[in-house]
Parts: sequence; structure tokens; C-alpha cells
Amino acid sequence: MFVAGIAAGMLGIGAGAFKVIVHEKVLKMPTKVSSAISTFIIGMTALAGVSVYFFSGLLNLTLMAPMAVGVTIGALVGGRALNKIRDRNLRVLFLIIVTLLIIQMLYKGVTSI
Amino acid sequence: MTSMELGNGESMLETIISYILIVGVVASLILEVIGISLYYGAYGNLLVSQNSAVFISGADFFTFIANQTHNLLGSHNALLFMTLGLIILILTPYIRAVTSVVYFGWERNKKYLLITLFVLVVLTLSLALH
Repeated sequence: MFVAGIAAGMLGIGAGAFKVIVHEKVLKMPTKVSSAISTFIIGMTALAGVSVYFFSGLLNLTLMAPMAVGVTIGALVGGRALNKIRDRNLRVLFLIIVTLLIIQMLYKGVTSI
Repeated sequence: MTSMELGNGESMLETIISYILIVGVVASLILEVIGISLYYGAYGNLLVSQNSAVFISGADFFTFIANQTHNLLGSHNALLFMTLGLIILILTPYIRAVTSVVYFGWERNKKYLLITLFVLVVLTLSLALH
């Protein structure tokens, strides 16, 4: 979890992707319980990380405001949908999202060299 | 019968926290939407600006909040609404941690009081120290 927090703070990707893996593989939590817990505590972990960006003057209001609205509405819809999705399908969806995240980070890493 | 009426301690804490999260998220959402609408009304687009005025920063978050409170008495513009929405969004998990500390202190649950107190101290230091 400490490593997940470091990665989240440095990369700005949120620690959810890492935490869910630890919840499921190490703590043997069911997928839905893991997703719910991750969603619940992500505000706390993100808060500790966002302060660094705040002090550095990297927070752009015109980018953050629309993102906050979109993500909040999406999270509300996602939370409702969680109860209706089967565990297996949720795991596949998570796999797809993590894969896309890895591809995006690799792309950013390669193009920024 | 609500969980609060059941008198179950943990259920009551969950109810209080869920209300804090709902109120925080809804208030933030409303302010952000107002801010975005005003911004669109003023500039005619929602393109990401690189103007220095749209970047927020400060030496510590609590002083920043105090400064924004002074601005409330002055001009009401799009960026102010966006900033206030952001402040509420950032403070929501912080208030959630404060509530947990107060609740476990009131319940005299030493184990969870120490855990939540540790989280609160880390969050406070994150926001207060540059």
C-alpha cells in the first residue's frame, strides 16, 4: 500500500489500480468488496498526494472543474452499476482498464524521452 | 427504520460519514457547474487555459482557504466558484477523517482512535506543510 501511495502521488493515476490488486491477491477480498473499499479510501490517499501539486502551482482550474464534474457523475453511476455486474465481468473490465493505463503510461514515458 | 435509529454505533458512524460525503460531493458539484457555466458565459468556450490566473497554489492549504473566504466578499466570478468547489472537494475526505476521530474518541475506542488520528495527522501535515 505504501508503494501504491508513492506511485499514485508521483504519477497522478490514483492508487486504486494497485490497491485492488493487493486487496484481491494478498488479502483475498472479493472483487466487489475490493472495489468498494478502494473507492471509499481513494479520497484520503488522493488528498495527501494532491497537496504536493497544490504547493507546486500545477493545479489548473479550467482542466480540473470539468474533470471533477465528469468523474463525480461517472463515479455515482459506476457505484450503482457495481451491484448489477457479475464478479467475473468486473474483473475483465478491471483488466482492460489496467491494460489501457499501462499502455498510456508506456506511451507517455517513451514519447517524453 | 434507519441505521441511526437502530442505535448501533458503527452503523451511526457509517450514516454520518455517508451524509458528509454526499453533502460534500453535491455541494462541490453544484459550485463547479456554476463556475463552468459562468466561465463559458464569459469566454464562450471551455478550452483549457494556460493563463496564470487559472492555476492555483499557496504556501499552505488552510491559509489559501482563508484568502478565498475574503474573496467571497468581493467579486463573484467563474474561477472563484471553481476554486470553492475544489476546496470543498478536497476538504470532504478531511472532514470525514475528523468525524471518525471525534466519533472513536467519544466511543473511547482507543485502537481505532489511534489509527484515525494517525490518518488525520498525515492529512493535516500534507495540507499545512510546504
